[in-house]
Amino acid sequence: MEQVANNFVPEENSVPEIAGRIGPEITHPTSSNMEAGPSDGLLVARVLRGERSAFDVLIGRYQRQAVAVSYRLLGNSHDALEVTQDAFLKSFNSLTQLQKPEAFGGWLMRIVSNLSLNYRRGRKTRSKSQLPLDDILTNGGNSESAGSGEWSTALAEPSHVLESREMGAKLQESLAALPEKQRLAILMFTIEQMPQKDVAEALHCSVEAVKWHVFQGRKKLKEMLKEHL
Amino acid sequence: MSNLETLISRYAIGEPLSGAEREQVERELERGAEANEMLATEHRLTELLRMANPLPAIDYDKLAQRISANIPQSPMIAAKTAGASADAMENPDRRAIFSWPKLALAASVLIAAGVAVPLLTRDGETTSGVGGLSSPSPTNIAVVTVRAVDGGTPIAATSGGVSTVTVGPSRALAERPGTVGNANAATSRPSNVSISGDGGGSDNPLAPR
Repeated sequence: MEQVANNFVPEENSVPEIAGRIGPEITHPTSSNMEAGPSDGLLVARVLRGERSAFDVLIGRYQRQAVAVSYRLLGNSHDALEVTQDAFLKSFNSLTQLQKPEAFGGWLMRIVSNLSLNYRRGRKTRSKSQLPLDDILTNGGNSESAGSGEWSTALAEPSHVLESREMGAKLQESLAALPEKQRLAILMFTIEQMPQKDVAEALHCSVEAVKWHVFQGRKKLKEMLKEHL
Repeated sequence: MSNLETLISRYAIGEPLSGAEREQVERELERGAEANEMLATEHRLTELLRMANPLPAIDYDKLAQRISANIPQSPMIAAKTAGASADAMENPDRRAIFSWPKLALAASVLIAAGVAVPLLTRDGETTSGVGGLSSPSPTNIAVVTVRAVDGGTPIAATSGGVSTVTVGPSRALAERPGTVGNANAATSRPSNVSISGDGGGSDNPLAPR
């Protein structure tokens, strides 16, 4: 276990929010608002005018983030894909209720996180999805534990291999022990690197509150994971 | 958690620090291993969180097609909003005009006006009758001669025939015309039927005299 922890050599470049950026609000380089193309607000307005194809652009822009947030809350790729589809459908049907079209991304993530949490609460009584999702999971979605629906500790890049399943389980246990908003704030801001204002929209709170949730959540995680840090 | 640890944690996640706090953090980072170790711990936590649970491999093109196929192709939203909402989305000023709070306020004003106007009219001793029904004066509608009949045998009138029948609002209403305008029923169903004989004064021509 100790050996695993020692394998985590921090790389400055891989932690963009830490790299000397201090200010009232942090926007990660991967945030959606840095992508080229029409703004979310313009796309939403087009959809509301009946231009259905504009919604496809929004799907392409946010589907990965939606899957990621859902997957990290549910720990199962099939469930995450199902929730993602539901979330886009609900957002389309509720688009007229969106008060700030430019905040579509954060609003969608709020739908995703709410659906995921509801899904998780009702999972024991729900039957398996009937949707044919296996073709979407390339390589069988094998970054998960095979068929167990449990979190995996496998890594995308061999150079960063985390060998211990025990470590991954401990991390998930620690995250799960956090209050919901702290967990979501860390998930969206630290892990998914969403802009703080999008996280604030998703959590229905202020940017300052997002910073507080992140700070408090990290403080607890450091305590719970101190043997591994 | 020490003050320095708190400062470095806030520094690491991008919390704004005051000038003095920032100077302290940078001074400690230059000076000692302790501060650098704390910052490295923050880095390791971030690294661990990001690396421990990679996303499954997903064909996002297929997923986008699948999601899109589940969304109605017909412009359902456009039909619901009839174009106005789309314009409102792009033009916040216009949207503000039609916001729900303002509509609710307007409805409240209309309801209040609907209640207040009749009350004010009632207090104002003014009447604007409908179709002449609110006239406070009895209306002479006929001059008739009545003969009482009992079993087909005519009974001679004892004091001559009834000569007039008047129909109209009661005397109380006639004296307070301001109340008449509030209820058409008061004027369309007059409470005063006056039947009088030639020199009589009885409302009942069959009554014994």
